[in-house]
Amino acid sequence: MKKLKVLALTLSLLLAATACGSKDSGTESGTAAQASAGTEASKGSTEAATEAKEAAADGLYFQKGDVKIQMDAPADDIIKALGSYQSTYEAPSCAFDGMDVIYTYPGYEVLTYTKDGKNAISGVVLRDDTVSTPEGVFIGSKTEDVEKAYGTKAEEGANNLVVKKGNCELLFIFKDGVVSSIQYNLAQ
Amino acid sequence: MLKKFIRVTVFLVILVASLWLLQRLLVPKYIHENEEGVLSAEYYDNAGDNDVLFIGDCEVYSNFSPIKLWQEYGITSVIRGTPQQLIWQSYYMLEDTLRYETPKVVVYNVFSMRYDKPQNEAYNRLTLDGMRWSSVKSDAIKASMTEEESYISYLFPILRFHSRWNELTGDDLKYLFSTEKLSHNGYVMRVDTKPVEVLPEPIPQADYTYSDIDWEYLDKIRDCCKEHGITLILIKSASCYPHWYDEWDQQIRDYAEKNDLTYVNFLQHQDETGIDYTTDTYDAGLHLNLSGAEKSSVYFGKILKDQPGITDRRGDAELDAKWQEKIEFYDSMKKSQEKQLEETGAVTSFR
Repeated sequence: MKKLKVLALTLSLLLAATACGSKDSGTESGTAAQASAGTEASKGSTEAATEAKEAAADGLYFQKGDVKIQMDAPADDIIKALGSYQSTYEAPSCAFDGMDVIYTYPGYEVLTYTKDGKNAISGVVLRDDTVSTPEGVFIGSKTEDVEKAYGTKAEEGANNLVVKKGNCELLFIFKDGVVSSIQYNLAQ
Repeated sequence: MLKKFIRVTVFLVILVASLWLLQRLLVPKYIHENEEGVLSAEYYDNAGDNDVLFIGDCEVYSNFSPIKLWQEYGITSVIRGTPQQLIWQSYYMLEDTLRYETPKVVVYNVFSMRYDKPQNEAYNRLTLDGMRWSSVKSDAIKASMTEEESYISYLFPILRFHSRWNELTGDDLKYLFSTEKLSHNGYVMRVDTKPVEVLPEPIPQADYTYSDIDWEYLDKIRDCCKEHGITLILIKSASCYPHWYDEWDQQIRDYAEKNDLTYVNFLQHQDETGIDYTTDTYDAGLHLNLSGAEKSSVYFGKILKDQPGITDRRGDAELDAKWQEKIEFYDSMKKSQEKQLEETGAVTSFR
């Protein structure tokens, strides 16, 4: 009987310990972001800005005019700085919380998602040759130009090349020896 | 000795019961948030005598109405769809259903084949937590877990949701042992409309080839149906976003042809279905609203009624009574949502 009491006490303490100590605590997924949004948002925003700065130092970003667009950067100021967009499309995020939004601009799109209650950059898609990467690659560039600009060779026979740096994956898709798609994606 | 044994037994029973109650209190109830979390468990209230089973993701539970299939064709059906249900989960949903009934037709929405690995614990929970325990559920969990998850947290959800203690509301007590019915044999109703205005251009993929694991589970679904004398129909439901690539469509067509299966891509039958994306979707093309789901069902019913074993079952007194109850609940929810729409301009509560 004494042993059982000890067992019961141990179990209870264990439960209590995991409840208090767990970093990745099991709150209901749908409410986790809401619960933490109030106090965590500003912290998250500062952290995101710092991460973005570090990514910039690492070099992979898209730039339009004076606006640098890095993966996971806070999106609201970037979208404001980019000016009028042609259209937007909203869809519930596949990451569960919040909405994914696609902003369409002439020649490119900016994709955002909800992170810690705020909008953050999840991708940029270049759509035509009116825009290019900061390294000078555009839709229609030759495969060799991409390899030269990023110092990486595409695999033999592959139709794509991914350049990874920091939290960004820059994807080039080739067709008939030229770039047919350029996408910045937040690394998973 | 006997007294001691009784004392120990009583103590253990109280301990286990307390932990079980605590667990019931802490697990999410999905009443006002992520309501689709109840879908998996709701099936068991509708199990039995369903001639058609739909499996898949939100494109099945939003886009087809079993009530309409009954009303138009006397076809009994149930939808075992859940948010972002992955193909291995669809396979296990099928296996789980076969523990309760054997439908004549299984309809699988192929869209989730774009995923070839576990995605997200939150979505896993919505599909798996509501399944009744069996070896099938156990296998489903093992196939679905992300790297961060643990099997024991599915066995004892209290380990996962223990820190909800500071988020508990009156609903957690109110719905301690039961929940509010959400679906209509698995169909989640929305009467509101958000039209498609501009759809984003498709984002090119580096590789459109479906992974081996997707084919493995599609083969399993096919074989399971064959083994049980069930007709399998593959569909791409009428949701127009995210984009359904021609390259994916061709792979499914090839598979269907090779395996002598019917494949219906609803996106290519807009004229026949009559679906209008300015009036028949509640979120700009991701999912159909009630009007769209009913059009989808009326169209698909024409195909279903010609499948082996499918008959018009109206006229059976027991079934008529059972489905009449379902119709009344359906109509009542429709009225409730329409009232919300009228009064507030939005549907904020399904029920």
